[in-house]
Amino acid sequence: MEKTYYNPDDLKKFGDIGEFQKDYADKFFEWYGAVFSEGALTEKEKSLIALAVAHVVQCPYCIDAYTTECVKNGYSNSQMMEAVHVGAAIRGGATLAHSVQMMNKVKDISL
Amino acid sequence: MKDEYHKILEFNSDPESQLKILEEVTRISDRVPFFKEKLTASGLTEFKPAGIQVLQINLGNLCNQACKHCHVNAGPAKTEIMDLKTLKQCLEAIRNHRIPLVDITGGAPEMNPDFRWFVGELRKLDKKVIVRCNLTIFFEGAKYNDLPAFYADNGLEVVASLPFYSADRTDNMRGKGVFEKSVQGLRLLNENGYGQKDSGLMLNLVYNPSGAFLSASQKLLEDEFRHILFDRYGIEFNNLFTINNMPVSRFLDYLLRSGNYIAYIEHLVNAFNPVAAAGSGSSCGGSIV
Repeated sequence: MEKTYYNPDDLKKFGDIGEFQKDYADKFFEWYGAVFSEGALTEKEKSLIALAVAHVVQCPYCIDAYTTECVKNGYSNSQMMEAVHVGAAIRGGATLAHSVQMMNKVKDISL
Repeated sequence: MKDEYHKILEFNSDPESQLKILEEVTRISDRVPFFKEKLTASGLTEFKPAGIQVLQINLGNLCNQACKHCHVNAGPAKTEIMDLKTLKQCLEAIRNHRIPLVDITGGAPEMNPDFRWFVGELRKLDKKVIVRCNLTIFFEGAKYNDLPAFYADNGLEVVASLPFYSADRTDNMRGKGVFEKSVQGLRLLNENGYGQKDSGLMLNLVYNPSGAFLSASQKLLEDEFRHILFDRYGIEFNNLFTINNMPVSRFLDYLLRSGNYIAYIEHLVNAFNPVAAAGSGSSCGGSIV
């Protein structure tokens, strides 16, 4: 067992997840490949969305992979940071939007 | 990310030591098979030499730039320059073997004192000539100012290095202020007819990644370079070629120091493209460097 939960080398083993359940893994990778290929959005645009989402879900493997992909695709440092801010703003906004529920509840139970 | 193996792979610039480092990677990583194995797995045979179509000649390692990725370790302090006697021998070989295309590179090939003479001799032989230009050489003193006109007068095809369409990434790789000078250099080439419709003067750009990652698709980058260089600077060119950095010399040193060596080699191996390899077999088979 590793001494840490995350090991950068494990990113290379992502393709091995089919070892324990091949059918699902094959379906996932086929779908994954289709999602990231050019459609109504370009592959480049999708890589920036993936970078922002990677931060929101706080996946170090995804951050590693999609930072490289975004640099490779020509995004500047400031563009990548702005994308992360967009993700952070949605996450922060989602938290704050739930405060309406708290406020409603406070009003419901208050004299 | 630090590479735990960099400690045992100390960089030494002599070719033998570099080869040892490159061979070592197949032992260290179980994800790096030999190139020959990749070819066999794809049903391809080893590359065989064909008739010589291209002779690429390095006129010397003297250069006005000292780029971080340079695979020939060129720079302003370098003294290795191809002498006139060797150039004459090259001409003889070109004549005898009827080689149709000569690709001149360096360093900055224009800094070889016999560069213009050599181009003139190739013209007399009616050879197609490509010059690999770093774009900033035009501004290194009066004797280089007229190079764009010299290229045009001799019908040279220009292949110009431009790592990126922004100053930060270009300067980080090639030195402070290089991007701005490169833009000026490209404008001079455009003014002399290069990259202009129906001029017949080809201006091709070369992109290479500014770090331990591989190039994005050539089509994507060419579209972006064309759009951005024209909109921001009014620059036009014919084609953009994307290449990846060779893990040798200065770039190998960088990979080892930054701990990216093993990961970079694995990326390279994973990017093996049997279609490109099949194509390289026929094109590289006709080249002598």
